[in-house]
Amino acid sequence: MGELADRYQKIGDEAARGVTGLCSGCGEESWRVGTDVQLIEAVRDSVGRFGEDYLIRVYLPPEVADSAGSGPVTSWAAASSLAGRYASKEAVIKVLRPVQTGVRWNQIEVVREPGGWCTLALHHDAHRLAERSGLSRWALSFAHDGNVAVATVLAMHSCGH
Amino acid sequence: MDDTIREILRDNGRLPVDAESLDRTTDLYRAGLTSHASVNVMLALEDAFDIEFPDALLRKSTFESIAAIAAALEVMGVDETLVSE
Repeated sequence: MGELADRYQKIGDEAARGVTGLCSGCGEESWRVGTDVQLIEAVRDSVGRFGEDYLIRVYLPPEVADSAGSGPVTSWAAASSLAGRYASKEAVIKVLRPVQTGVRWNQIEVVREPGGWCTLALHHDAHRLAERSGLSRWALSFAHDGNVAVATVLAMHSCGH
Repeated sequence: MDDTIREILRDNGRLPVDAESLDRTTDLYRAGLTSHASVNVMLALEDAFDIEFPDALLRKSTFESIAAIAAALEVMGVDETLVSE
């Protein structure tokens, strides 16, 4: 018992110094991670089946435009990009850990930066939930190959209590 | 209402099992419903019942079973007799 108490005392001291990566406010891990995988074929099917209804509910116009590029939004290339974006949104939701209410997918935006990589922008309720949860410094990576897209999201948690 | 929900699950849920074989309380995610497929189910339900799911019901638990979906539809005031064609 003494050993356990000593261990927790050490964790607390290190957390206060920001050493262990634990939030000094609540003791939760300082970093949250979310991962999701998505079949590209399923996204292409949704685009074909529901069209604009699907696109509007899940994506923002710049995301659709970037995914489609100069081709049709019904193309495999567009579906691959949209699937990566969808996986990214689900990964973000896993990081947000909403309890009382859901989070709309189109409040989470995957932004293509001029250099080619992607970042995240949270809007409206998604942004407010992230702020309330003390989440910041978001990082995203997604990729696709064959019929699969995968995304991983990191965010730092600090509740500041 | 359950019949309509099962039909929508059959046509949009991409389930590896027959939707007709699902009990009302069967965990649909364990039965193979993915998060993306639940988007399709949501859109199909909205089209079938002429509704729009509010943010409060855009939770994973809303689509976790036929009973849960039915309960959500009832909260939204769905009258099965008014199912759109």
